[in-house]
This record gives sequence, C-alpha cells and structure tokens, in this order.
Amino acid sequence: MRWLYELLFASGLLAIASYMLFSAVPTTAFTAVEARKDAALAQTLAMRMASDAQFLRVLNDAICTCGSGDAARCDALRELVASYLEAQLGLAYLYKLSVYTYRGEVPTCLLCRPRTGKLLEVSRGGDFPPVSSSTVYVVLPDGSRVRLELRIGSP
Amino acid sequence: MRGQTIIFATVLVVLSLIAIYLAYTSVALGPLAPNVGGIYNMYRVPQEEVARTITGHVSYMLRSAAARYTGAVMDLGAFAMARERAYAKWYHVNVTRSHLDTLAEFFALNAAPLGTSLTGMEYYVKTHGFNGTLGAYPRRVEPVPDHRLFDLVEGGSVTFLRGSLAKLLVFNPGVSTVAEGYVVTYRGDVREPVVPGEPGNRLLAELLSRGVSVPGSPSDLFVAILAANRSAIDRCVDTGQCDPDQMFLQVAWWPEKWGCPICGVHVKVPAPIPPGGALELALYYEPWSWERYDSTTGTYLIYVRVRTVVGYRTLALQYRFNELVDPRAVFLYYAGPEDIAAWSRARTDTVVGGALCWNPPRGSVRGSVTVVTDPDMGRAVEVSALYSGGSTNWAFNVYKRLDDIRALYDPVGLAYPFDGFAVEAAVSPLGGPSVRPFRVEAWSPDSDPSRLHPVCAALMGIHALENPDIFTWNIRFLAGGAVWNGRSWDGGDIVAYEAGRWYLVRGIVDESNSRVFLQIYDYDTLTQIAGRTWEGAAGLMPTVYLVLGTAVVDVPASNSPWIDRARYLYVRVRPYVYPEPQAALVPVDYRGFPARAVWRGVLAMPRSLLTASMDLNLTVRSMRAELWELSTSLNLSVDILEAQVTEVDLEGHRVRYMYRVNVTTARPYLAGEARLYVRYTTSTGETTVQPLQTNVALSSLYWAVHEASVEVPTNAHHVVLVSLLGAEVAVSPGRPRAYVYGLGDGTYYIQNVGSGPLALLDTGDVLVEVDTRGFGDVLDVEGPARYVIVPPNTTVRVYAAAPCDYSCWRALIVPWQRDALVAVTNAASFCPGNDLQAYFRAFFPGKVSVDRYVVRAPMPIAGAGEVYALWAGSALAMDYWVEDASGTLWVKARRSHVGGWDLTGTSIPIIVCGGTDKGDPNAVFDRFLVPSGGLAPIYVSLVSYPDGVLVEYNVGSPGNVLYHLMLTNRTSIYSCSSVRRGDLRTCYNFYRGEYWWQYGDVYYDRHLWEREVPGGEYLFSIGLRHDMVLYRIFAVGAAGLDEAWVRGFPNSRGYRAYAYVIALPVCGDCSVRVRPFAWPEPFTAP
Repeated sequence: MRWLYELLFASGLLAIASYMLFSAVPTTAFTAVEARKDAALAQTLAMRMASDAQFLRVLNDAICTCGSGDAARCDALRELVASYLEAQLGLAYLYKLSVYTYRGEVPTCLLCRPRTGKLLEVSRGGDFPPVSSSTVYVVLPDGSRVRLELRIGSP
Repeated sequence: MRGQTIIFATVLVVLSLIAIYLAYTSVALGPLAPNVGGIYNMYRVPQEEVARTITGHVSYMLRSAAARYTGAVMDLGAFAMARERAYAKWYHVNVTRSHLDTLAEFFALNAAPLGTSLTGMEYYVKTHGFNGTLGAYPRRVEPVPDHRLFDLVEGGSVTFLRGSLAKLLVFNPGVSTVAEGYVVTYRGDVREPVVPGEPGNRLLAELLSRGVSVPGSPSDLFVAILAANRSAIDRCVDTGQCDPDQMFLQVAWWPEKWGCPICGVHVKVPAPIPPGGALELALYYEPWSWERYDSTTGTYLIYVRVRTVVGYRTLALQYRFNELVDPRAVFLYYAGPEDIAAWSRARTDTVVGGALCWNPPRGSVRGSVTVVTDPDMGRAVEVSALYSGGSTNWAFNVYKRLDDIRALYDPVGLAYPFDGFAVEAAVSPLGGPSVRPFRVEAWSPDSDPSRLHPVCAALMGIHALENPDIFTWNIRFLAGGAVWNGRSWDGGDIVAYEAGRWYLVRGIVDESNSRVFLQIYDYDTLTQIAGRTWEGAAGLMPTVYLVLGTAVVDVPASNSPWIDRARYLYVRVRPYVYPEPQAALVPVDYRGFPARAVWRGVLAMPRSLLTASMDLNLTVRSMRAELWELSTSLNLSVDILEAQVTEVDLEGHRVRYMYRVNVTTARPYLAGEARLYVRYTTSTGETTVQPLQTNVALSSLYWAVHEASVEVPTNAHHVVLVSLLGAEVAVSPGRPRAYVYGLGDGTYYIQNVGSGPLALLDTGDVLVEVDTRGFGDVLDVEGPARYVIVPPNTTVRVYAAAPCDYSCWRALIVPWQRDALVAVTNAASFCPGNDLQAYFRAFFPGKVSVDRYVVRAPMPIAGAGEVYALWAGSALAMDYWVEDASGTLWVKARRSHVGGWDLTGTSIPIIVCGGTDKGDPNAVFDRFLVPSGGLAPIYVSLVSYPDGVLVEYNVGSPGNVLYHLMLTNRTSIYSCSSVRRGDLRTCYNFYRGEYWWQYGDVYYDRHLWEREVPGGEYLFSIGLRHDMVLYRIFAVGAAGLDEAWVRGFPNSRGYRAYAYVIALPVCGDCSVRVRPFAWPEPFTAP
C-alpha cells in the first residue's frame, strides 16, 4: 500500500515542479526577447531625448506654453513633441511621455502658476499592454530640472 | 523500495524537463539575441549602442555647460572685466560647476540602467576678449549697524536650526531718515538678477518653487521676517544672558497675492533707516511643521543656537504668526471685501454742492454692494449701479471716513513722521455698456459723500471711463486742480484699460512736498502703466473720506438702462515718503543693494574667443570591467574681418552694414554651423535681438567665413552674436571716440562720436555728479566705484571734484578703451573773448525723420553772440532766435550738427556765447508769420512732416487771452461753445472763463474742465501726430516757458492736412509758427 502513497506523492511533486517551471518563465522565448527589446528601446530613446538640445528646447517651450494656458500654441508644440517621438519609434509602438517636476521644483516660467506635479503629457493610444517604461532626469535649456517618464508598448 | 524508485525517477524527470527547457530557450534565443560586445547591462543593450548614447550625453553636457558659461560671462559684463577679475573668474567657474554638478548627477541616474557610472569629471573653460552687459551690480549702501545680519551669521555666533535665511534689504535713497512703521513693498521678479552673473533671481525662484504658507491653511513653507537686535545678541554672546524676544524683533508682513506670495511682500519697517542706508531684515523660511505651530496662540517656534562665552545655547523664539501676518498689522488702514460691504452708501446728484453743480438730474440710479467670489482672485466685493435709460448727473458713492490718519500711526501723540499717505485699491472694471465702471477717490473732509456728486466734490482719484475705454485722473478743487476726466497722463500719454483685468490704483498725497501723484499698476506684473504728477498741496491730512463707486455726468451710456460695475479686493492706506524706499531679496552674504543698469547694451571687442573642454572618465561596470575615457572639447574663435556700410536708408532710419565674420573651431565642419544674430541697443537702452541670414564659405575643415547683412536703426549700438552649440560670443567693430569739453565750475560734457559705447570707471570719487537723462547710464557700486556709459552719438554731463586734464580723463576710461579719448577742450575757447554765456544739451529720444528740429533752451536768455553745436571737438554755428517776451532761446538743430547722421537717438551739447543779438525767427521755424485778420492760409502738407507737426501761436505778452487757435479747412470762425467736425481748436470760453479744446470726433467732450493757467499764459500749441493730438498752453515763469497745461486725445481721424490756421487775437508781436513734431518729444537740459 505504501508504494501507492509514494506514487501519489511523486505525481504531486511532479505536478508542482512542472507548474512552477512553466508558470515562472515566459511562455515563449520570443516574448522574452520582445519585452527586453522594448525596455531597451524605451531606455535608449529616453537617453537620446535627454541629450538632444533641439528636442529639449521644444519640450521646454511646450511645458511653459501649456502651463501658462495658451491652448492653441500648446497644441502645436505638443504636436512637435509627438512627431519627434513618432519619428524615433515608428508606427509599431504606442507611447506615453509624461513630464514631472523634479523634487517639486517648478520650472521658472511657471512659478506664479498653480502648482501641479505633472507638467506635460503627450501620448498615442490609451492603455496598452504590455508596457515598458523608463525614467530620465534632464536639465532643460532654461535651467529647470524635470523628470521624464516614457512608456512604450505594442498594440 | 519501489516508492523510493518512483520518487527518484520523478526527480530525474523534473531535472531533465528543466534541462530540455533551458536548452530550448538558449537555442531559441541564440539567433535573436545581440551577440556583439559586452551585453551585461540589465537591458542587454549592445556595447556600441551604449557607447553612442553615452558619447551623445557627454557632448550635450559640454554644450550645456558652455552655454551656461558664456551666459554668465555676458551677464557679468563690465563689472567683472574692469573691477573684480578674480571674483568674475570665481563666479564663472562656480556657475559652470554647479550646472555641471546637476548634469553629472542626472547623468549618473540616467546611465545606471545601461550599466555605466560616472567616476570622474574634469573640465576647463576660458574666454578671451570681452562680452558684457551691465548686469545686476551691488549698489553702494551703508547697512544700519544695529541690525546688521551679515557678520552675525557669517561669524557663526548665531545659527538658525532647521530653516534657511535670506536677506530682505530695505534701502533708503532719500535725503532724510525713514521712520519705523513705514510700509515698504518688495516686488520680486524671478527674471530680474540680483547677484552679478546669475540669469535670474535664483534665491527667489527657489523660495517660490516651494510655496509659502497661508494663514489658516499652512502649506509647504513657513516664512518669518525678523530684524536682528545687535546689542541684545552681543549681550547674549558675551554674558550668556539671552532673551530671544529682545534679540530678534518680529516684523509684520503681508503678501500682495497668496498665489505668488513672495512676488509682492509688504513689510512694516521695524527701525529707522538713515539716508543712503539699508536695513537688513532676515527672511527665515523652512518647511511648515505642525508640531511647532500652536493654533491656540497662533505662534510658531523657531530654534536658534547661539555660541556664548558659557557654551552653546539653543533658544526657542515664538514667532507671532497669526498676529504679524495680517494686513491690519501692516497698513495704517485696511478694508477687505467684507469691510467694504459694510461701508456707508449713498446715491447723489448734482443739485446739491459746488460751483459746477447747476444741473438737475434726469433718470435714476440704484446701487448695490455685494461680496462675490471672483474666479481669479477669490473673495472680492462688487460695487454696481443700475442707471435708467438716459440718466444724467447721478452718482453712487460707497465711502468710509478716516477721522485722523495720524491716529492710525500714533493714537496718543498724533506724531506722523512721514510726508503723506497713499490710498491703494485693487480693482477690476467689468465690461458691458457703461459710463464709469469704477471710481477710486479720496475726498476732502469738507465734501460729504452722502450728499455730493463727485463732480461737485473736492477730491482726487482715478476713474475708468468707457468708450473709448481709458483711465482718467481727476483732481477737483484740491491742490489747485479742477480737472474732471483728465486723459493725458505724464508724458501726454493716453492709457487704455481692459474690462475684466485687474489693476492696482494708487492715489498719493505728499503733503510735505505739496504734490499729488495718481498711479495705475497692472496687477499681474505689479508694474506701473500710468502716472500723473500734480503740484499743489491736497489738504487731505489728517482727515479723509475714502470713496468708491460710479457716476454719470451729462452723457448717458444709452437710452436704455445700463449697469456700471467693478470688483474690488481691498482699499488700504499706507504711509508715504518721497522718494519711496526700495526692497530687494538677496543671499545672506551679499553686500550692497542689487541694482540693474538701465542701459542694456553689450560691450564687445572685434575679436572673441571661447574654449571649453571636458574630460570624462567613465566606467562600465560589467563582468568584463571595461573602462572608457571620454573627452570632448569646444573651441570657438570669432572675429569680425571687415565691416562696411552699404546703405543709409534715411526714410526708415536704418543703416545696413555688411559683415564678414570669421569663425574657427577645433572640431571639423562645425565652424559653418554657427548661427549669427544682431543685438542692438538704442541710446535710451531699448534692446532687440534678431537672427541674421548668412552666406557661409568654408575655408577649411575648421574655418568658415560668414557673410551677413545687418540692418539696424541709425545711432543704435549693435553687436553680432555668434551662437554655436548653445555657446554665445559677441563681436563688434564699433569703437568709441571721446571728446571732453570743460565748461568751468568743474562741469564737463563727455561726448562720444564713435560707433561703440564708451565706458568710464571711477574708483577714486573723481566724478561727483553724473547726468545722463536716460541717454546712457551711471551706477554707483560696492567697491566703491562708479560706472558711466556714454552710448555712441550722445553726451553725458559730469561734475568733477577737482579740475581734470587729458591724462586724468584718460585714466577714468576703462583700460581697453583708453585710446578712444581724442581731446579735452575748454568750451569757452570757441567763443570770441572766451565769453561763454550758457550751455545745455539737446536730446532726441524719438524718431526724427526730417533733417531739422527746433528746441528751446532750458533757461531764459536776453541775447546771444553766437550759438554753437559742439561735435567732435569743433563748434558748428546754429540758427537761433531770442523771443523777447518770454526770454526763450529757440535753436534749430540740423543733421549736420551730429556728423551728418540722423538726429534720432542723439544728444548734442550746445553753447551760447555772450552778446545782444536776437537772431532770425524765419531761419529757425519752417513758417513764421503774423496772420492778417486772424486767418493764416498755411497749407500744412503732411508729406513734409512724416512724424508730426506742431502749430504754435503766441499772444503778444504773457497773460493775454487767446480767442482761437484752430487748424481747419474752413475760413469762418464760430463761437467757442459750438463745434464743427474735423477741426482742431483751442479757444477761450468767456462765459465759463475757461480754455476749451475741440477735437472733431470726440466733440461731446469739448467742455472738459481743466485748471486755469495761473496768469501769464503765453504760447498755445497744437501738436498733430498719426496717433495723437496734443494741446498745450505754456506760461512764462521764472525759468522761461513753462508747460502749464497739457491735454492729449487719441487721433481716431487719421493724419490729415489742413489748409488754414486761424489765430486770434491779432497783435503786432503775435506770430504763428509751424515746425516738426516728434514723439517722444525732444527736450533740452543743462
């Protein structure tokens, strides 16, 4: 009779092992590579943005304009930011770029405006899984310090 | 046994499954995974990609640092170059370092996911040549010794625990002491630098970015203002007997706007400030802590550590937050929305009252006062009045009587150590058809607002008047004034308002100096947009009525009902002294009082050089432990090869220059990428920056020649800015050329006839007095030193303590410009027999398109020998005329007197030699004639007067009455009280005993009451420009002609020609004169 218990125990062990093995690792190797590629892309793109003086000037202008409530010019500048991202990412990706204050420091141009933590958000698509995100810190041309958060994902 | 076998087999199966899976994964991943270089960062980004990203980042850091560095060099300017080279270098390095520190910190954060970290950074920057503006220099001041902060904090005897300190400086620019209890306003602007070389007010920016607490709902930051009491602090340090309440005086303060608290802070000065002195107040701030705030007593604990002889002592100071941060603790009187809603109200008409109240009212008015919530400002009070259609001569008054202003300062002794007081109100006129959306007034105690219409009352105040929407000033039966709807503000300007926008209006009574000021500020920026100065005591001390409301006189808004309404935030009364003390927020170790120079030009040399390089050691932390060393550098050398004037476009007042600019860099192909801008500054300091179109020729990999055509206004100083990778350097071929004329008595004129600005630096108190009149600049700075800037084609007057010869003047000029001094001449030597009778300067601030302009000497003159303009060391004869009846010397300045160039933007010295000759009026004025029968058929062709034309008429001898002066296309004369469209007229209404103006389209305004000219009216003038008509009356005073009366209208009819001038009465000495008119109007000064 004991061997029956041991057989049951062994099958249980086998079941647990297979469950752990197949649920802990990504379902396919291809998905694993894709996710890593997205994360790397998000990170390198964010780094590129942080060292592109021309892009930062546009971003600076967009933050100041949108923060001061000039809706028409704000839209035009957001378009510019979006077109930069689209040129870099291509159409295969959805993205969301958010700009936040750095340790609550408000950019100089928005000092006398109501305070908000989020300064700007430019995105294509709504909620998109799966998501790779990266964060970089940049000094804008006017000397303000901000935090950029970029999320990208495939539809 | 069988069981163990089964388990063993199962384990084997599990292990082999894992092995199979791993093998599959690595086989599947193999072809996909990047396989080159080190891939040991968390994203497996290939080494090449990491290298590319990191290199891009380093390059950006260099550019950003270079831009910050050149920015600092440009801002620090002359101060650094001439005065404190060591400080400047230290400053440049500091600015660059703090910027690089941030960049490096961010770099480390950003690069970490890529497996890289920064282990070392070296950089090296230098400039050659000189680029500079006149930045925020520390002005020379004497701190009040009893309350000095600097050595207290610097010496380390007192330390504020937890929080930080900034210094709020209150500077007294006047000649008498400002008593304690005065309320000074600090108006902060983050864009305005206070520390030399900073791009803005960094301290203020830091404070603002953290927010400030609001009483009742404290948020991020706690702010206290304190004054150190040195004797109590010294006693504490020396003996260990410490009383924190005695050591620090607590100061009451109040922010203008809670949304931007430090943008405008009103501070009640806790101690007297001697003339030229600065009171140092401590602005203490820290994150708000609820533990240290006691809501029952309203106090907040500040901890101070003092190093005494008996060791360190920590003291707790109880700051009476709720009591001190309160407008009623700061101002003499303060009424918020709820207080104003409780003021007395009355509707009044023009039946009761003064001399001008002859009209029974028509229609009716119903007023209301309600507290509302304004979307922008929060709580506000709305004062509105509903008038029935066609109503006239009604008013709605909301008022408060202040029995004794002195008692508000000193209830017992009634001592009042100030010159007067100021009434201030924040108000927003609301739109819709109306007549007078708001009135903010101070009434004499003799006029009772419960009975009188404002047009009948003795008052001063500011109104908003609709259609066109403008501000008016009103002084009635006070200070010698009888003006209702005064439209011309100082300088003849007309000032429009915008419905729904907020304004701060101020009425200032300066009883000591017999003066009244009415001022309007834009509430958003707190900058002044209009002001009117009125000489004459107001008699409003010590009792005054504060009155708000609306009114209609004889022109209703419409025949259907209308509402006049406006919102108010407060009405307050504060002490006033002349001149008003100034306040600044500076770092605690800052010396002097920050002062920004008016003249904003850049001083540059023909050659400029920037070198910036950075070596970065970067380590990629990985299994392979690779080490990279990255280094990058930027070398930029710029000079102007040749400059050439191609065209002088006199019509547009512009000159075109062709420049060839040499750019060399250390990196290949970069020199061609430089962008060029022109920055020009007029002699009065207005500055413009414009990009340039260039042709680029690459001479080698490292060298490019940029050809640019630069167009700038004549007599504006300009530099070419070359921008490459964010760094900026300035070059200019302009060079000053200086002549000094001695005038006796230690007075000298310094004339710059060159193409670049001249800079003088006086460190030995040689120049006692400097007078630029806005053409150039003078600044006393800590050191002590005095900077004087003489822009091209202008003249500055100085008074030297001792006679100064060529070598003495040469030594006063900054070292790199010393060769600019050509000659020092005695001006009297130009006159026969050295007989110099008088001297003055003529200034041309506005655009003068024509080649001549007539100015009058600032002093009366009986006769002259010759009149000369001084230019480049020689004397050029001028046409002149001495008008006997007024003793006025009229002088005609020509383009040839300023070196053949445009008069616009120049100032020239003029000397009058002794003699009895009167000169020739026909040579001075364009037209000068005695009209026969009053009709002068003068066709005023406007083509020959592109800027404007002035028609003047004198009435024989002072005190004679003018019947008519009229520009018209008719030949008939009509009575003063009737009106014809299109004519411009000044006439005397004998029935009223007043001068009236007529300007075609605003004919309903013809009967505007102005102040009588106090006898002696002599010269009447009508000035016509594209945008304005200006009527004036000049009286003859002790100092010659005196502009006694001025009134401007917007010219809505356009610039039209007139065929006739009608002038009456006719007399032998009466004459019509026609001459050019420019704006701002040229003027003269000694």
